[in-house]
Amino acid sequence: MKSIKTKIYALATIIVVTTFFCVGLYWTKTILRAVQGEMACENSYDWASVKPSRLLSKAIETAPGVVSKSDISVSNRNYNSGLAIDKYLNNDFGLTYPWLIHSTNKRKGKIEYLSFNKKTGLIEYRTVLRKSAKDKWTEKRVYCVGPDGIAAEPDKKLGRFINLITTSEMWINGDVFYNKALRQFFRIETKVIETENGWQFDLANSKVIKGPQLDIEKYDIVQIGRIKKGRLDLRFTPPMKEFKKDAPSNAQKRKNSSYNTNKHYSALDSYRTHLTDKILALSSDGTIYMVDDSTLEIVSIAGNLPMASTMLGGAEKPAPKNLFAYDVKPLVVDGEYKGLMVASVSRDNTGVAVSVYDHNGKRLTTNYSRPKYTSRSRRGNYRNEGIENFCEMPGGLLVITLKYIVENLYPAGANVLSYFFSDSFEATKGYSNIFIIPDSFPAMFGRESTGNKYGQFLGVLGIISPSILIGLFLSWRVVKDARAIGIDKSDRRFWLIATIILGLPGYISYRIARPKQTLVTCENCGQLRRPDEEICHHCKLVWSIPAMEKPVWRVN
Amino acid sequence: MLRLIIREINDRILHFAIVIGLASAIVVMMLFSTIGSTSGQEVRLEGFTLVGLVICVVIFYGFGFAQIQSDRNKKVFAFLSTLAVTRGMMFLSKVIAGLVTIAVFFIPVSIAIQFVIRRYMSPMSIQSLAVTDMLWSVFFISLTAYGLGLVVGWGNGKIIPTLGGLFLTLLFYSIVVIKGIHLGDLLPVVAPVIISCFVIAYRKFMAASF
Repeated sequence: MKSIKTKIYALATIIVVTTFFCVGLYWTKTILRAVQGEMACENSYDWASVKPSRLLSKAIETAPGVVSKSDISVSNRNYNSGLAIDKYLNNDFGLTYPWLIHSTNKRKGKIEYLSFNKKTGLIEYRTVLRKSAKDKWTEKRVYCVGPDGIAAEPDKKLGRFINLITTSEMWINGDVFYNKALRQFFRIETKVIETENGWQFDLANSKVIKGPQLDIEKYDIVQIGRIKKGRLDLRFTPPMKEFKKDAPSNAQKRKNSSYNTNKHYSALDSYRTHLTDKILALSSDGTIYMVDDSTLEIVSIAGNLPMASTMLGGAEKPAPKNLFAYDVKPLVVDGEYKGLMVASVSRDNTGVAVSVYDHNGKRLTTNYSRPKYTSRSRRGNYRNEGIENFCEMPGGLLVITLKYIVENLYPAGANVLSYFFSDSFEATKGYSNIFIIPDSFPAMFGRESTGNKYGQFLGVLGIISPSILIGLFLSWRVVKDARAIGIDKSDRRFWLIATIILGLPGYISYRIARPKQTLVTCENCGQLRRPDEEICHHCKLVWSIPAMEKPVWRVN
Repeated sequence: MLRLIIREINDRILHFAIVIGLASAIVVMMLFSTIGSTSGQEVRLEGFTLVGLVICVVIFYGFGFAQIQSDRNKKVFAFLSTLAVTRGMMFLSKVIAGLVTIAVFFIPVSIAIQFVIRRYMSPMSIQSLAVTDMLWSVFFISLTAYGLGLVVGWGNGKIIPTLGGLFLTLLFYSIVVIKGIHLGDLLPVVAPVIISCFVIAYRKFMAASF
């Protein structure tokens, strides 16, 4: 019983100490990561571009008066720490919803919104009404949508949606969404009728359109509509004409969104970077599909996410979860789809890539951010890849060494877990992990898709050998001390294992939780023994208690 | 037991007054700024959460720390040990007094926030659910700070345990920055630490020589 209580106390101490220790190390690593990201930006071309864009015909690019060709560019200048607070500070922390709010008036009016009710598995269209500032807001459910229909009240006949993926700009009528569990695209088509009280939904004639069921082996859709992650912003600049030479009419000025009053204006009469009759769908393997808006069928492959060159992150597949950020934009000129522009940032936030696909989904080109300082970088489209490039940067070796030292202060167990679970972490979520370090060197090894797995694991053991050695050394110290102060065998074994796995936090926990009594000399064996224990833990001698006898002397 | 709890609150009356004052100030500030603003949307709940959380953390850490440290220094434990109360009851009364203080802060603030949301901001039920989620997160972080105060209060000396403990508490507060303010993200990390802090505090209380 005493041993169980001691172990509970020890475990509690370990939890508290390890948490604090890892939070401290987390911040150290975050500072290093910020320095690393800043260095990558400073010492390499932190942008990638394709100029000319290759999506426009030569006739447009070289038309008379064109002074600048079309350009697709992306910059990784805005360093994103990957902390949850980043989202928070950008007001993207849950109080605003991916579900749209149609019209809002601050003190009175009507709010309409769609929300997904997890309990019923139905999409609910709700309105919130307030006629005047004196009234209360009244919330009302107008209709519920399930895979099998629309009704005013929740009904089992409507079925259930599970794992719903929506477009980021979901509109009340004509919404397209994807149900992962059913592997189908859906669209809500509501009808309205005019009544004495104004417009009302005609639920009897409203329906839910279903697309064909997708092949589970082939398609694993993770995002639809606006394909974007993080702050990355891909920019398309059309071919530019000089203002003075070929001045546009007022009508042209209004039409042309990128008109620049000072110098240049767009050579394209009309272009946009979104689709109206089709939607894009991103698969977990990085393939971008084109989905027909009316039939809800996948009609073609529009392109793929490029794998940005990475200095520290290890080789990976260009899957959405492996990328720190990405942005996908289609280009439509005069109503005609020209092709797809795709950009991505590597997991370690050190490199950017941009790819261009034509209207058939054929890749035209991919460009990467490049280092500024190596002789190799001057040779064409050299990829900014590999740790050796980072070490060549001014101060790069110092940062790498510090990163290595900090990572080896982490518990050896955390390093081993980082290796095994490196692939299961989504790139940005990994950065808000305290105990497992997805951007560490062991994790980098873990993500290498090539090579012998056993060899890799041995390599990882080599990398984390300082952390293992620290654990072994400290566990030896712990066991030696525990034996000296008479901690029993099962507790010694507990501390031995804890210190090997946890390293420094394990040792600190032991120092905090160990008995604090001052030892006394045993009169039998002469070694130090604990005064609170009944027997000497060396020679098993019990305390010799003097008999309570009447003294022979007496003071009169 | 009730007398012990009342004694705890009486002894920490200054802390208790600060907590009540702070809760009242937040409630009044929130109501006035909301009613005074034309749109009703100028009250930044997220701002309250981040700044308010630092204040909560410091106050509740201080409360836990003072409960142990000052009773040790004033030999209150030694005195109570001579009366017909067990150590377990003494510890429990301290924890209940701490929880009451946290509740005194959170209940009016939560009611005020919900009122402001319902009356002046968004009437959507899901929005107030998100705020409730945030408030629970603040509550659990405050509870952790209080638990840490109870543990650090056993340290010898005044300056190092006070400042060191405060530093550790603020370091722990940074979990909000790392993980975000949502309860689902925070609880897996915070819950084991809260339980562990109370286990350590209990153990230290039971084993200490007063």
